[in-house]
Amino acid sequence: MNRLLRGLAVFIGAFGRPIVGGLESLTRLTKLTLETLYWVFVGPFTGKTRFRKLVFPLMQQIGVFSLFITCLVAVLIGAILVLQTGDKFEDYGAKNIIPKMICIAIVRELGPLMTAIVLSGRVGAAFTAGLGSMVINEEVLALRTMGINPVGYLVAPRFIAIFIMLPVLTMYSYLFGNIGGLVVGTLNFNIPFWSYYSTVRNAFDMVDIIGGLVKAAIFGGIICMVACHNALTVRGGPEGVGRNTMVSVVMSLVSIIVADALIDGVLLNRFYK
Amino acid sequence: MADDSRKRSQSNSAPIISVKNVTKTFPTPHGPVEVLKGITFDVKRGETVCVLGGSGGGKSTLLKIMIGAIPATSGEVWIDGENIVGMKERDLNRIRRKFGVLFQSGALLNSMTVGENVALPIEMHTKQAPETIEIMVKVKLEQVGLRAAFDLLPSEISGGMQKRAALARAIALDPKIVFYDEPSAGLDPIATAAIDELINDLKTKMGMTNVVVTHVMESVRRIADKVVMLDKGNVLLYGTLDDLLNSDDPRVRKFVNGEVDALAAESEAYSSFLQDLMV
Repeated sequence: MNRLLRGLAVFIGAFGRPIVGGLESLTRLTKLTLETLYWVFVGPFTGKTRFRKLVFPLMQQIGVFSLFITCLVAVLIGAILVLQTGDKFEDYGAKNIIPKMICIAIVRELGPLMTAIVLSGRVGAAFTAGLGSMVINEEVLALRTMGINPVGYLVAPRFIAIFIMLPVLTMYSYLFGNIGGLVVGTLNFNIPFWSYYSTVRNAFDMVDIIGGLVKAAIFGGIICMVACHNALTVRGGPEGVGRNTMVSVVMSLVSIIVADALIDGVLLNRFYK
Repeated sequence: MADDSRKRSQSNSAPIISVKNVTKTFPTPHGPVEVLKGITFDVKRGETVCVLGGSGGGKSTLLKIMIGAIPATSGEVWIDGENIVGMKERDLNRIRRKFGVLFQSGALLNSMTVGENVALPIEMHTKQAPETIEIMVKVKLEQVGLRAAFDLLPSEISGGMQKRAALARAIALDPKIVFYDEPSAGLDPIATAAIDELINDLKTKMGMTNVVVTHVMESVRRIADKVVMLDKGNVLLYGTLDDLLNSDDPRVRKFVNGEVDALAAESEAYSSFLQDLMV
């Protein structure tokens, strides 16, 4: 009997520990997010922020330096979508639907999602590695002892920069995704260029565009918060930075997809025509 | 006139830092571990106090408590008349403007130039014009002999220069107190002597109070007015430099003479024991 109870305790412990750890981590992440929002919205009025000096270089780092890879991924996704689905539509004599279908898929889903995935790998990982290194080099502690809040100084500018730049990059992915589809549609499936162009133009719906951009902004916030949370909790030197960077990328990818499903299922689904 | 002089003398002799019965316990999966066991000492204005001890003696933990980086489990830390234990972050930030900290690694922000690093606390806490800040930064860098490094990145200067740049940043707002965490760590004897000279200059020329965590006896001999020697979380000795040098306690003697001794070995073993528990 005792052995059975001990086994049960070990079993519950094995499941309980990760759950408690996960809840603690979620609590810390929520606290960090609330503190970041305080610094984003209230901080500028306290006069203790230097956002103008800090945000623009970050926007450049996130936006300009991610533009090429975002556009490349968007072109290829648009092209692949047409290649994969075009012949099936052709079989049903619905070739003319291809441009509209691709456009809606890119604007509603793939544009924001693929851009967020690219940025979670490129920018999220850089945030975790960069801030994590600052933690182990005592730079974050140095900021605190100088009376400078690390969340206000390090996290809030990153939040603002990615919150603005992810929707901007998503707009580029709308454009280049449709260009990719257009190229393959006209070359492989003989859809006339102007016909493809005008169908896409008519398919653009303001609700879809705004919905996609709102999702992109939320994904940006998620990437920033997950990355910074993992950076500020780094322990164990350079090895810890590497481990947390990996965890950060995986966590932000999963969080983005969960958030995507929730936003679409709960909110945007009601507005889609 | 005589009254004024007496008052000044009293205020100079009054402690600017009072550490009273400070304990620190870390929770571990194997139960709580007490790293500091009731530390008590005072630091008077304009004094240099060295906190000594082997690895794992609790020096760095004590320093972190004194700068408000981690909370004490119990006890009081009075800095310039205010107890910082249990203080809110906002109030702590006000107190932190009274002191600067030189970290073991320097902790300069690597993405900024040396000049920008020194300017950071001035920019964040004052409303000076950029031109004025630049002049203030150049004065501070001149003070530590680093004027030429204004536009260089921390990665472009030597370890000793990084420490001096970090010291310039620590004194950027002319604090009353400067805390040093192992200022000579990783430096050659000449660079160590240069840092020690700067610490003495800050005391004699600017009247700053210095609290130096170190285990380098050469430095202690050069800079210390008083010493606090920690061993396994207890104060082994609190007194003047002479008290340290003339102590009869075998553990103190071995530390002073730099012998590979029981104290260091025991502390090392204790340190690794604590590390094992905390992992």
